[in-house]
Amino acid sequence: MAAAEGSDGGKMIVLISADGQRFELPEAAAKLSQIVLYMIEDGCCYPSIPLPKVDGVILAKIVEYCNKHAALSSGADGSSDAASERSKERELKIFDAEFIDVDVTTLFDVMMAANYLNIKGLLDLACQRTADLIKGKSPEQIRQTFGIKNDFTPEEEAAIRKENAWAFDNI
Amino acid sequence: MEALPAVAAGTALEDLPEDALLAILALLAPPDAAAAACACRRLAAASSSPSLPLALALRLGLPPPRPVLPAPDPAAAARLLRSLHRLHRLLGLWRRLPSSGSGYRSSSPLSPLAAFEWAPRGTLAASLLAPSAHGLAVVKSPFVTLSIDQSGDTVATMGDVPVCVNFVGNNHIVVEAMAASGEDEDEALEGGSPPEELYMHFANRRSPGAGRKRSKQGRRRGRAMEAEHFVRIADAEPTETRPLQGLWKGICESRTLEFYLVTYDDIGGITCRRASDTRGQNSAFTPIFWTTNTTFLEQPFSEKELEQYSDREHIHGLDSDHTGTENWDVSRILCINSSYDVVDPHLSTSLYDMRNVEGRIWLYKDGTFGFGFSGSNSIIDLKHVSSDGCIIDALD
Repeated sequence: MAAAEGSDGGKMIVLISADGQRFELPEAAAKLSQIVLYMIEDGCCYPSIPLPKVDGVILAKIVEYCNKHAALSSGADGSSDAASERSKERELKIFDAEFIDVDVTTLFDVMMAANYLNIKGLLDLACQRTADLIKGKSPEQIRQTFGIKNDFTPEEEAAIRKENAWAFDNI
Repeated sequence: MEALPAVAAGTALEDLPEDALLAILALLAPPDAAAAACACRRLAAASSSPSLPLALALRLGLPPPRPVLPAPDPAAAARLLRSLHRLHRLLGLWRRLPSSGSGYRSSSPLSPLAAFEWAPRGTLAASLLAPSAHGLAVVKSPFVTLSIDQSGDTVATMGDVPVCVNFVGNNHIVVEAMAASGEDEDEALEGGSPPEELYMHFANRRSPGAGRKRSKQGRRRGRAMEAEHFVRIADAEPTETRPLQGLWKGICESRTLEFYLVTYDDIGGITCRRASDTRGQNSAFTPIFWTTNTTFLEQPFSEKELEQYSDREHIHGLDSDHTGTENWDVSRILCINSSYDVVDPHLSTSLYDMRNVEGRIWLYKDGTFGFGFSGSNSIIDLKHVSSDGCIIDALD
């Protein structure tokens, strides 16, 4: 109950990664994760929240994302007019673009962690980045980008190409 | 406690859960999704998942009930995906190309604009837009309704009559009577849209698919409705860098509500055209003003500029009992100089009056704007027609 009352932004939450690293972040930032939010609401957040499915390197990224988004969406500076909202949106957009411009392994690690922690905005961002990396590429270029092995037999590949031929028509 | 393995650093695309793969595939256009499906088995399986159409329907914003396939059937799933993409491509505002004037046409009003919007029961409703006779409202009259049937195909109707809505290129559609039933109506030309004038003067008024089918039933049925051509209004709303862009409405000098379309060209100029009746052979949008220089005058404004604005009267509708409650707070000013040398000479005939060549655009702080010419002492104020794709202040 003590944790649930601390919504004034003063409380800090400690997250522990799979490899034992400690990350301290404001409660408002931690609550961007639905999983952590439920734990806070259930009073299971003290002294810390263990996250055995997320390693330290990725949890550091997640914490960076949550801190930035919580800080910019809370209106902490007291200004809430349309112009400052637009400027915050622009800042978040720039932050997101730089944040997600990572190698594909880190991208998928972040996506898995966002999925596990249920951080919708971050999951959407990672999915959009993956989709952007696919756009305009041939199957072979997609394999190269993501390090995928072609596991089709020639017959299977011919069949799947035929099955998807409709997508190239002017629908 | 080791029921769930820890997330190992080094996750590959094939390791992602199906939900994530579906979310990624739903973000892709059909050719990109097809290329992804051809990359590996894991992506191929996700692409043919019966859950993908639902993921796509959610992503595209299709209202419930969302289409569900009665049984896992790859062909039906492909049809459903295709239909969803097709409906999504139609969303937005379209302008009607002038009629060929061959004497008969559909009973629909001669509105120059159509809006395709998501509608209840998982449908896409197209309405024709007309300025209302009183006030600033936009009158919407039902035009075509598109839905997805049990087999995953798109079905289009005008009232109770089945019609075809075919794409010709990416930004041009043809709405026409359907001659034969039970056939795939989706036959269209590949490639981009040639200039509008080509369509107006030389295009076959029917899409190739419809012509083929119509021949089966002869000419009589085809006369029930002439093919109607629409071109997409790609930039229907203003943006931060293009604050004047989009479809607008405003009370003009004759005290009636009119639609105005402002477009930016690739060389930095803008053109404002007013919508007119589509019966004529000319464009349904008449040029009103244009300028090649879109650099705004910023505050503080000169005395002359302030006078130029304050000496004018804002035009109101005939039935308006307007008492000046609106706040036309000018944030920036743009000079209009519709010089002749930048346009096709035949357009200049509408600008016989030199007084309607030079003028000003006053961009207001609320994001709307007004314009006036040096030869008049009035201001035509324009309001948004749509916001985030939805028609504002619509009357059904």
